[in-house]
Amino acid sequence: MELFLQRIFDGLSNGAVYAALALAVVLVHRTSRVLNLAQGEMAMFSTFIVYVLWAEAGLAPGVAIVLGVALAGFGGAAIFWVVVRPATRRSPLGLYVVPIALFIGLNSLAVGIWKGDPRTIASPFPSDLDDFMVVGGARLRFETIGVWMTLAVALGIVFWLLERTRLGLSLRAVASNPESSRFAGLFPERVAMVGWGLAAAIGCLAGVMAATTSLVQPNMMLGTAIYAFAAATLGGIDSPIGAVVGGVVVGLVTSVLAGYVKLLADLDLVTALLVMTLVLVLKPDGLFGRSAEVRV
Amino acid sequence: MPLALDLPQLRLLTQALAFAAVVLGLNLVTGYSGVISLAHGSFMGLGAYTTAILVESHNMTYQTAIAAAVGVGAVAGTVVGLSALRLRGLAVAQVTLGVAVVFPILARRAESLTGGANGLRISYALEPPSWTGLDETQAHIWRYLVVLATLAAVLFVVGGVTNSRFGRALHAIRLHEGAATASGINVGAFKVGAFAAGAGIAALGGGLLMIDVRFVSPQSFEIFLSLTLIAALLIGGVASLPGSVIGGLVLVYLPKFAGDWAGPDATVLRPGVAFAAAMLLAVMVAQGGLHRAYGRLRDRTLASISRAPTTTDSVVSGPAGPLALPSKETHR
Repeated sequence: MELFLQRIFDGLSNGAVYAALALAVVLVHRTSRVLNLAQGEMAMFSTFIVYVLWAEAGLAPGVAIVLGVALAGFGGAAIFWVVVRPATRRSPLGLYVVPIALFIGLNSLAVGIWKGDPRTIASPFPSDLDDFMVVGGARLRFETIGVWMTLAVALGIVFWLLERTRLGLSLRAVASNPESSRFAGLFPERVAMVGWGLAAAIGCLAGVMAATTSLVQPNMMLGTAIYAFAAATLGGIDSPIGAVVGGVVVGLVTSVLAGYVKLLADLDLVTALLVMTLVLVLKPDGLFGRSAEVRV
Repeated sequence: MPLALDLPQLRLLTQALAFAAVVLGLNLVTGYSGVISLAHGSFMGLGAYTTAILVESHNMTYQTAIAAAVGVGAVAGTVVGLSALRLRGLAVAQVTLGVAVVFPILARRAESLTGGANGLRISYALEPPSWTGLDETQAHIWRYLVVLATLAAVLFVVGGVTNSRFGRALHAIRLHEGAATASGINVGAFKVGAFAAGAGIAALGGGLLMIDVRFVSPQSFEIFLSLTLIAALLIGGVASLPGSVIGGLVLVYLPKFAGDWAGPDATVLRPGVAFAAAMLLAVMVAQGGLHRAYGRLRDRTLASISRAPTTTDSVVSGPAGPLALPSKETHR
């Protein structure tokens, strides 16, 4: 029972990170129709920037994270405006090529700047060995609670932005119909830029949260990104709430399955890939998605 | 003449030709039929592993081992292709990306078969037969010729196939699936067929690479290989045979030149960054890759000289499938 609970806690804390990154993927896809395969690499790169702000510029962990998230937001918006927008305008191929180019480029750049050796980032939460409480016999670390709270607050802010503000209204309008939103006085490309910025900021937070319990290194988000894609697919690639539910479900399922099915131990990624493929094949619109009619 | 190159140079060229075969396989799937595959590095890895295991552990000759590798690759391609059948563009990218991430993990895991993270070394080298008159010190020349001849044969076959009914069906599918279906083309069967063939050719490339490298490890077939293959395809030229060969050369020589020029400790001017920039340029400026950029430049120059109306390599207008491309007949 303790072990089961432990796996639930682990699953929830991974799931929160997957949910955040999946939400980033959804925001980008909704506003710009780009499936950003490089969302994880963008998160990795901005996590390194938080690392630099903390370790080299000497800022307090909390300050470094807030500043890093803000920088990531501007960076994401800039990437959209400078690279994605012109490339997708010029060629429909851009939709596929830009994320792949970003993926290779950012990873290579991170390896070049920070080399391959893994680094640790200070946790902004109490993270000593005895900073835990016992729930039903299982250890619940304060760090884990901190990760949940941070991501829950961040996701809350995003949903508030989406549902309750003018900005969110324009995001949703552009997502549902770019052409008509143009007639309503919106600029779909500017809205997409905001979408990319918001997504990069959430991704940065997800990367930092993943790094507090693990390491900062160029390949840190490769697996996480696959889980996030599985989560976004499960929830429906255009549904923010679906991404969050999908993230938590994928986190829980992989954690519990890895614990109880011997064959799948340390093959969680394979589980995630199977989940993703099955959802795509059986229910391509996901749990919360609406099917898109294709007009010929 | 390539044969005048010294040993390391010729070996590099041999490897570039092996990669050209992989780019050709990718071109069949992504270029000719317009289904994106981010898993071709894994198919190449599968071919390399199959070859290495059969030669090293089962004492097969390279010929039989590589033939078997092509078969294994085609089967794997069929499986991935079948799942790609029900999916549209971006979802295929997602699934194949997953395959590419999972492949090295599985290769590390299946230690008894693949040697795990340490990889697998082939102790038996391909030696030139006596009728060639090449001695042992010239074995690399023979290996180069074998790889070159195999690539030439595959290029010949693919060239024939893409001009046949099969190739025209793929072309139709790429331009508009609905219209292709309406013309009586079994879109699914053709897509799976292209995927199987493309994966088989990629596996062949992996096998050919083993003739020269004789060592395989999971690190060589990480996700980045699959992504760089896409970059090479775009830089060389989508849906073009010469483009595939250019792509293979770019794949091997671009990192080499970037490394020689900027040094291994470069922070920004790294092979990956060069690939990323080059593929963006290929899409934004030289649409259709180096091969067609050359054709366009030639036509423009000729047009400006003769001032006569000529047919230029124009781009097909309008969105035409996920991979809209310059029209096919223009470079013939």
